[in-house]
Amino acid sequence: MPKIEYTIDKKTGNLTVHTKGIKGKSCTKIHDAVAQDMATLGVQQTESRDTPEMLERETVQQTNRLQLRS
Amino acid sequence: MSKYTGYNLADIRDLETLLAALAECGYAEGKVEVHATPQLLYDWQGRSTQYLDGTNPDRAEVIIRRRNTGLGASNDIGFQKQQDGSYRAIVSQYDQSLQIKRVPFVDAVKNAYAKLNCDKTVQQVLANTVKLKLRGLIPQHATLVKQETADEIKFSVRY
Repeated sequence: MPKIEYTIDKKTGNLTVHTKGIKGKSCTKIHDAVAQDMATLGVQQTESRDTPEMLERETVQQTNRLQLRS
Repeated sequence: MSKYTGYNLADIRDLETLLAALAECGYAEGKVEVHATPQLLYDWQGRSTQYLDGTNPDRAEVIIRRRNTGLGASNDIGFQKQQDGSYRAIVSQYDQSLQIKRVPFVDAVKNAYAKLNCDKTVQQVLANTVKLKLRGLIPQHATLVKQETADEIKFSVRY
């Protein structure tokens, strides 16, 4: 299930945004939109990284057809 | 696909929020000077201070004069705007022990700043979710759930 998680640590004042299971470039676009909104508050991004899941290749289902001739 | 980004809400960058944070700490309008160009900070003898580099007079855009600190400060306290847009606190060596409600002065201001930014961020997350829907980046049926504990606030947008 696609998910966007915002976590605000009250003690340190750190905000993290974590997108999970979002296909294609939507993932980056969502982070860009959040960064733009935070910039309006004068808050700059301090960290950005693609998690290992981001680097995984999408699974391609391959169907092999076999023609059986009698 | 998964991506992670981080922000520091305690990093002082916004003047209005800084002034609101100072007000939260007891330094409302009238106790804080705000200047378009940085002005000199003075010590208890009326001499300009040189704490930052030891040679040049300290200057700041946001200043609490020592008579207005209410904490018996030896010198003026300033917040100097840096080239990257952040504000750096200038507190003399003598005044490092100043505290607001038992919290060191700069930490208290940063905590107040982070709390105000935290409140604004909560509003921003709510508004952002609507924007993401309008831009078609997340579906209309996406739901937002807020969970709050003593240590953190967590929002989950699921679809």
